[in-house]
Amino acid sequence: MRHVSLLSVALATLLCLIAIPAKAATLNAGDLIKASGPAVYYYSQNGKRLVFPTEKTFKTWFADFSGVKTITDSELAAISLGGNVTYRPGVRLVKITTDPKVYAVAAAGTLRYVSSEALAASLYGPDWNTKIDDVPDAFFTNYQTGSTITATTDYSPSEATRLAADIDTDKSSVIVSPTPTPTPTSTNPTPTSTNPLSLTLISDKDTLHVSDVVNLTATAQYTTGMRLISLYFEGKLVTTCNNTGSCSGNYQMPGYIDKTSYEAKAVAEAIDMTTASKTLTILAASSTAPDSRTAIRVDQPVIRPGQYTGITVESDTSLDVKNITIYVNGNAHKGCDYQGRSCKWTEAFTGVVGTVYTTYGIITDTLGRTYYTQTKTITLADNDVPAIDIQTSKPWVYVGEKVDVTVSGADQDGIQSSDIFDSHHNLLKHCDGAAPCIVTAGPWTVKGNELFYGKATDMLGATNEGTVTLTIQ
Amino acid sequence: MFKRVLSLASAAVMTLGMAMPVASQAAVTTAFNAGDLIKGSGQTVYYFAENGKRLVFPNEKTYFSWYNDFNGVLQIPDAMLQAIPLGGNVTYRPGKKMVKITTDPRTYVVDEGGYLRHVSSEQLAQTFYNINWKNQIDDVPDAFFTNYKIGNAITTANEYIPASVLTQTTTISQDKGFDSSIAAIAIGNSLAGFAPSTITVKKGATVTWTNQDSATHSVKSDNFQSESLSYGQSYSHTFNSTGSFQYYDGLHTSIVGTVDVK
Repeated sequence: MRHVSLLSVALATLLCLIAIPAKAATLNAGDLIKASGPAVYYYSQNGKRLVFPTEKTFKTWFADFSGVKTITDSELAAISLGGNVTYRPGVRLVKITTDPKVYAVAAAGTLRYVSSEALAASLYGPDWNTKIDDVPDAFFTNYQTGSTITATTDYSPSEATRLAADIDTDKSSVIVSPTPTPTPTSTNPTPTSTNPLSLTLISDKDTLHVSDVVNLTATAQYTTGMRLISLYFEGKLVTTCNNTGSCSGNYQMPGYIDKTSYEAKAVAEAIDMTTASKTLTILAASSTAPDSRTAIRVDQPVIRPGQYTGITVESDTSLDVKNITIYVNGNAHKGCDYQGRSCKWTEAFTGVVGTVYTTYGIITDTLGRTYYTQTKTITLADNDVPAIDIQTSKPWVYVGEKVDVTVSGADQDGIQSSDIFDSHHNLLKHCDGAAPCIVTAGPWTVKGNELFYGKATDMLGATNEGTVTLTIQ
Repeated sequence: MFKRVLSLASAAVMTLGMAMPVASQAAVTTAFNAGDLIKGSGQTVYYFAENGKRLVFPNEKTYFSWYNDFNGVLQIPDAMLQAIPLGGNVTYRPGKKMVKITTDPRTYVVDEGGYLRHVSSEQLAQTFYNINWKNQIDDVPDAFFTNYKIGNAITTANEYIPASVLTQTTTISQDKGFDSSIAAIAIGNSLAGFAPSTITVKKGATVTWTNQDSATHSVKSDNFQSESLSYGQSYSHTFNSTGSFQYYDGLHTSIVGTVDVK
C-alpha cells in the first residue's frame, strides 16, 4: 500500500541537522533504538518496541542517550509498538497531577500509596519531597494500583530497583494481575506489501530450549482461496498444506542451542498465483533467566538472627523433574533427587541484623535441561515477618462455582490480624486475631485465572503477603 | 550534541489531558451523573463513568471525536474531583475518523471497544470516507497506542460501515461497555464528601460506594446501611423503588448525599 501523507500534528519535531546515515543494525533485546525521528524506543525481548511516554520515565532507567542504535524508518515501522515503559521501581516517588496522593513504584508499573509523610521519609530520606515526579493523567492508565504501604517492612526502594534489572525483567514480573494491555488477535501485523494477501505466522513458544517442540501456525486471508502454505524453520521445510487457509506444523529443537535466535518462515501461494511470505524470529532462552515453569517461596523473608525459615522450590506439571537443588548465596545447600516436583529446605540463618541472604533453585529434568527460579532474599532484622499460608478450598472451579479462600499466619510474636485481597488488592475480608481467616469468593462468569493475596500482621506490626492462583474453567 | 536531537515520545510536547478554553465558566455543582463531563477549577475535562471513575481524554482530537464543544461540561469542587479515581483513557469515537499511529505506516478505522482495524488498501479507505479520505486521518501519538486494542484487519468493504458504526456507539460509556444498571460514588475526605453528592440513577440500578480516603467512613440511611469502610473498601445497594433517598456518613454525620431514583 502506498504510504499515506501525514497530517501535520502539534509535535515539535527536533530537526536532526547532522544526518547520521541509518544502516541496518543488529538488534538485541534491551537495545535502545531510533530512526530519523527524535523518539527513542526500547527494543523488547518479544520483538516489539516500547514507548517512553515522558523523558522522566526514560531517566529512571538510563542515564543518557549513549548507546542508542539508529535504524531506517522502514525498519522501525516494521517493529510493532508494544506498549509503554513505566517508571523503574524504587527510583522516584510519583504523583498523578490531579491527585494529592504520593505513590512508590513497585514491579511491573504497580503504584503503592505511601500512607504517611513519616513513612516517605523513612523510605526515601528527609528530602523525600524533592524526589517526587508528576505523572500526567493520560499515562496513569499505564500503571496499576497495588497494596498501600503502611510500614517500612512493606517495601524497600533499593530492593525494588535491584529486582528490576531491566525493562523486560520488570514487565514480566507479576505482583498484581496486569491491567489490560492490548492483546493483538494476531501476533504479527498484516504486512504492508503491495499485494493484499495477508499472512500471519505465530509460534507457541516465545523462547526456545534444547529439545523443545515448537509449533508454528500460519493463517492466510485473501479474496481467492489458497493453493498452498509452506512452513520452514531455519530454512528446513517443516510441512506443506494444500488448498487450505491455515497451516500448522511442529519442529523439534536439537539437543543443543547454538544461536541466540532462530528464524521461522511461512510462504503462502494463492490460487491466482499471488504469493506472500512472513518470517518470525524466536529467541533462544537465556540459560539462567528465571523460567516461568518454576516457583520459589520463602516462608518468612525477614527473620531474626538465628531463626529458622524454609525455602521451597517447585516446578509445574509440564516438567519431568529429575533433581531440584536449592542454592543460598551461590552455594548448593539442599538437593532433592527423584522426589517429585517440590523440594524444601529449612535452616537457621545466622549473622548480624542487616545481613541479606540470596536464594534460588535449579530444576534439572530427565533430559538434562536446567531451569532456574527467580532469586529471593532472606533478610535478618530486629523483628521477623509472619509466615503466611494462603489456600483455596479447591485448586480450580467451574464457571458459576464459589470457593473458600483461607489465610493463616504464624509468628513468634503472635498474629495480630489477617487480610484477604482480590487480584486488584481490594480488601475482601479482615480478621482480627490469630485464627485462620476465611472468605467465600465467586462465582465467576468467565474462565481464566484469578489471583488472591493474603496478608498477616504480627503483634509488632510486621507484615508478610502471599498469593494463590485459582483457575476458573 | 546528539543529546539535543534525541527526545522521547512526542506526547511530552503535546498538551496532555484535554484542556477547555478559559472563556466558559460554569457555576460549581456537586450533582452529576455517569456520562457527564466534569472539570475542577483547572482546564482539564474528564468523563465521569458508571464505575465511578474519571476517564481522561489524552488529547484534544480524541475529545472532539465525541463532542463538538464544551457546552455540557460541569464544574465540580476541586476536592471532589481529587476524590474521584482516574479510570483510564478515552479512545476515538468509532467511525468518526481513521487514525494512524505516528511511527506506524498503517491506517486504521476505529471499531467499538477501542479496536483498531487495519485498512488494507487505498480503495477501501476511499469507500469508507470518500474522495477526501486522506483528510479524515488523525495522527495518534505512539504513547497512546497502548490505549487501543488490535482487531481484525479489514479486507472488504462490507466488513465495516462507518455510518452504522457511528450510530451504534454514541456514548463513551457504550464504547467502554458500561451500562446504566450500575453507578458508583467515591467517598472522599471531609472536604470532598460523597462524589457526586447527588446522583440520579434508574430504578433497579446498583450503586457502589468506594472509600477513597485514608480515614474510615460509612454509608447510612433509614433504608440501607454499610459497615465501616476503610480505604479501598466498597458497599453496594440496589435501588428497586423510585424516589429521592438521602443518606449520610455514619462516622462523620455532617457529610450527606442523595440518590434520586427515576
